[in-house]
Amino acid sequence: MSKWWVLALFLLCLSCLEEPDCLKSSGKVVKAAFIKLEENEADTVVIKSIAVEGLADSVFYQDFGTDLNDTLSSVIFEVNPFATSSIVHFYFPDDTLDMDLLYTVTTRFISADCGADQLIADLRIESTEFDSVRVINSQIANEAATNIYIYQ
Amino acid sequence: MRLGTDLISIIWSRTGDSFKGYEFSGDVDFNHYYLTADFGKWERVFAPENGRYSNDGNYWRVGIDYNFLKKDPERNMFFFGLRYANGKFSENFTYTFDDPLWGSSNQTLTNADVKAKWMELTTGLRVKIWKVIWMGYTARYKFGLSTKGEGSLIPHDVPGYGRTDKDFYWGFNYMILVKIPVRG
Repeated sequence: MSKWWVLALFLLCLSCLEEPDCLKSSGKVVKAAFIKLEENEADTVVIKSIAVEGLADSVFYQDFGTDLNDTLSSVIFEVNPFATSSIVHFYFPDDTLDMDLLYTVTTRFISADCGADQLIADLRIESTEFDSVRVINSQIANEAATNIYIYQ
Repeated sequence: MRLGTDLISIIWSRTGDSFKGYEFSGDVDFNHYYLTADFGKWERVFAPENGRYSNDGNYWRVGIDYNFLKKDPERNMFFFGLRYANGKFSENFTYTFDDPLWGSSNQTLTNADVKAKWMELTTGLRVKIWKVIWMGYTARYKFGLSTKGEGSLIPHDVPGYGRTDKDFYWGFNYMILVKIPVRG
């Protein structure tokens, strides 16, 4: 009988020694897709670049194509993980339109070995110069899903 | 009625750098059912490479144990029980984030007044070792944790429970208890 109690105690001690997984779930990439307003289908636009305020250099992330002035149906860009808002400038050949994004940033301490990560969520549009935009997915991941529809 | 303390907390507090705490416990015998209450205090410090995490808080539990040793005149116990637990704590986390695009940012985040509650299934032994002294262990299966009052820092470690990223958690106490004569 006593050996079973010793075994039970041993298993309990093992469970207490379990370390957390160093799996960081930080995501700060927003994906915006261009949509034809009337047909509600994917649209393509010619775009020169995208800049996010707070960065010294322009940032241009795109789904496909490698050159500026490319024709794209969607773009991706990073928001500032150290703030709860980011202003994004979309540079088109003849125009520049801004989009002011709001979001929440929560910090998670994982462990002494793994450090911490930041979780960005609850994406909202504070203001924009586009005619019509809609947040379709407020959870920010890494390029996996479209977050914003920009209607043309 | 018996009053006691957890020896593991005392030893861990004196030998480790990351934990300071204690836990007191008491139980009252009602014909094989034991009304049980615990109170504890818990401070933890972790030092990751780029920062420091600390928490400080206290907790209590109340519940009932059922003793399966029905005919033992020494009041030894082999028990199963249930607890409701409640805690209140604060956390402080300072960390330097390094981002390849946005640079580094030193952040200090605080949860000043977080409240937590959870449930526990317990089992254990109590063995009389001398006149009015019992010793034994309590194993705890903790589950159903919920917290409220946190800010932008997700609670990491709840005093009395442990890490919050687990849906359930094991706990273990090694108790020494002293019988207090109470005439009913």
